[in-house]
Formats: sequence, C-alpha cells, structure tokens
Amino acid sequence: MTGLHAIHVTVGIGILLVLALLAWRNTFSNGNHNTIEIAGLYWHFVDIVWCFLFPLLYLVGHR
Amino acid sequence: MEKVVDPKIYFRTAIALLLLLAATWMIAYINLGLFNLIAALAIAITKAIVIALFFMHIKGSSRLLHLAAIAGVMWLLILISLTLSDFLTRGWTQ
Repeated sequence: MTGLHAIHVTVGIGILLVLALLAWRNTFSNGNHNTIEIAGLYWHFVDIVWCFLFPLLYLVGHR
Repeated sequence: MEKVVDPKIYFRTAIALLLLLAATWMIAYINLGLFNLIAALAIAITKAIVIALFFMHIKGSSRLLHLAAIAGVMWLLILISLTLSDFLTRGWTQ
C-alpha cells in the first residue's frame, strides 16, 4: 500500500512540476484554469488516501 | 464556472488539518484498545470530508457534482465491504 501510494505521489509531483512550468510560461488566466482545477483534484485525492494510510500504517497497533 | 474562493479559506483548512493530525498523533500514544483504531478512522474520515469540501471545492459546487462525489464514496464502500466480507470470514480455513 505504501508502494502504490508512493507511485501516486511521484505522478502527482510530476503533474505539479508540469503545472509550475505552464504557470511560468503564463499559460493560465481567469478563463483558463481547468488544468489547475483537475490537477488539484488529483493531488487532494492522493492527500485523502494518505489521511487514512498514515494512521493505519504508522499509528494503529504499534504499542 | 465555480465561485472564486478566498485564499484565507485554504490557510484555515490547512491549519484545521494540521490540528486534526496532531490529534491523531496524540491519541495514538494513549492506549485505548480497540478505540485507538476507531478514533484514528473517525479523525481520518473528518479530514477526508474537510479536504473534499474545501480543497476539492465540493462546497459551493452544483448538486450534480455533490451526487457524483457521493456516488464515488458509495462505490468505494461497496468495494471495501466486499473485500472485507471475504477477508474477515477466512478463519475457517485454518
């Protein structure tokens, strides 16, 4: 589960780097921000998974 | 188009999530037996709802999107319950 999550995080970092590059080139504007919205949805999906994985892997059952 | 969100909302959400993380961490140091698992999952569900509402813009979006999000959660629950109904009833093989 940690490995699968690591793959998701790696993909997410790649997406964030592409977003940073696009933002650097002034691609986005008031009318053009769907890319950021969708990338944000993906990133927060990975975020939610970690909310459950972190306590289950590292906190529960380690005492 | 969705509404424009005040950046302060994101900072407040992040602080709320950090406080919930601190709560999970501290509760893990107290031995509560089975309640440790229940508390950890309850806080995790709270965090997931906070993330979905504020970071993923579910709050303030259309009812169709609310329906789509709820349908996703329901499907995940079906998959988890089917998996657990197999996994948790395997004791008789030993």
